[in-house]
Amino acid sequence: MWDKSDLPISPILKKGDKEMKKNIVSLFLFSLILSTNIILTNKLVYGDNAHPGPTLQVTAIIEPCINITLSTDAIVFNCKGAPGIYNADHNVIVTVGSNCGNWTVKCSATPLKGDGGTISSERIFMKTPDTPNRDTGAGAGFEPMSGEKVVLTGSSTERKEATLEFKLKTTWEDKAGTYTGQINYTYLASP
Amino acid sequence: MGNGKLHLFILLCILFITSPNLALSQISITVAPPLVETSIAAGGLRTFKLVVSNLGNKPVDIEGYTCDLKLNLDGIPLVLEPGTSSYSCAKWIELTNDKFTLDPGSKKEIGAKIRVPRGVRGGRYAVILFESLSSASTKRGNVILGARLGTIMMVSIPWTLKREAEISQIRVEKAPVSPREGGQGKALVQPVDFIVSLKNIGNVHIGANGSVVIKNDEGRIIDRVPLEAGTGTVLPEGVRDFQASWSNPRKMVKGKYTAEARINYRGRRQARAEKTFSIE
Repeated sequence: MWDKSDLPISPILKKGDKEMKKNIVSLFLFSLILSTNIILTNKLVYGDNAHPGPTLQVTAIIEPCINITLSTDAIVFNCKGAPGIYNADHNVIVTVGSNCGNWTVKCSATPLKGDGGTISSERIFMKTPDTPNRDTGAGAGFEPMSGEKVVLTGSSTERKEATLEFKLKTTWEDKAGTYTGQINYTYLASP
Repeated sequence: MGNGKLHLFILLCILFITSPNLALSQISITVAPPLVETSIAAGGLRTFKLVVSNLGNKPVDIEGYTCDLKLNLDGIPLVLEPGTSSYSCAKWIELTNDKFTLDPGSKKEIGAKIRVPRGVRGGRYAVILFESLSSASTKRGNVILGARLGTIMMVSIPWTLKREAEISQIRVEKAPVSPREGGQGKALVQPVDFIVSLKNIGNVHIGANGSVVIKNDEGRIIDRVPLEAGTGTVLPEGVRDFQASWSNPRKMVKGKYTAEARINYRGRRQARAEKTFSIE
């Protein structure tokens, strides 16, 4: 019969055992601290109200507002040649945004004035995605800009976009020269 | 010489890259708030802050001014010259700053002061408009594009308000049948449209909503359809159209009917009117 203690113990194995014990103890201590921390945090967050932590109330106030964006601040009709229908140099993209109520965007034009006289706003034509597809003298879908035209309507928290095309009808009565006018977009909330 | 050519090339490149931006200067304006509804006693004064922002890529000159406000039959606001409407407060409003320039990304607080004179009654309405005057205005031959944004002012003078409305007209129209509705073996039903005009005969705006009750020739209620009109706001002296469509194939049989429009405004008050029609 032999006893375990009779076995020769290698000094290397003894050293490894000690290190293992050390590691286990430190691991145990670490997990103890960690679990204590977790328990305490949970108690602070979800626990009874006996020991509430400091809290910060957050209030966000979003004021109602409306925004209009026009892709350009001017358009030009280059009327070179005989009188007729001329396209604007580029389309206008109108983008509107609102975080409240119903709203409407309307468009109106002033007559074009120059040294040679006046071109009435009825000869400026506009096409929006919603205009009826009938021809009123400047091609299908183009309507004369007499009076105010509704370009876009919408309701709250929307961002809408419309591409508008413009044409100008010139006649022999329009003297050669440079004419200037204005197209206004009015964006209002509907009360 | 070689250096000169290089400089010219670089200059042309810069011009080529920046020219679209120069040509297409964007206008982007924001106004807050878009609507101010308030109560001010006669002889009183109130100030408001309005914020105008430039989100565009160029400085923009802004001009602020007041106009009268009306609503059309569909409730779309109409901007009129100040003093045109008998329920206007456009001339009571004073802006602290009516002409200013906004740099890209900047905003400005504008004060609006409303002074209500003594002896006036009811509600008063106006719109404060902020209009962009772009730099393109200096160039001849351009059609200048301008943006106008507004704050609608609705002022009520307490203890002088009279809320009253009446239905001035009911129209019953047969709506066109779309091919899809008539197809797929379903019975062809021509919907009936009701257009109810509500007139504000009081001195202050009202918010209204209602429905059309449909009765058969025995006087029994057989259906009810809601009337739609957005916010349902009607200004004094104004008329607003409320619309409803009846398209119930099970209940729409040949015969005579009565459409009773019931429009509620300000709590328990109700305007009623009826019209007979028939389905053939």
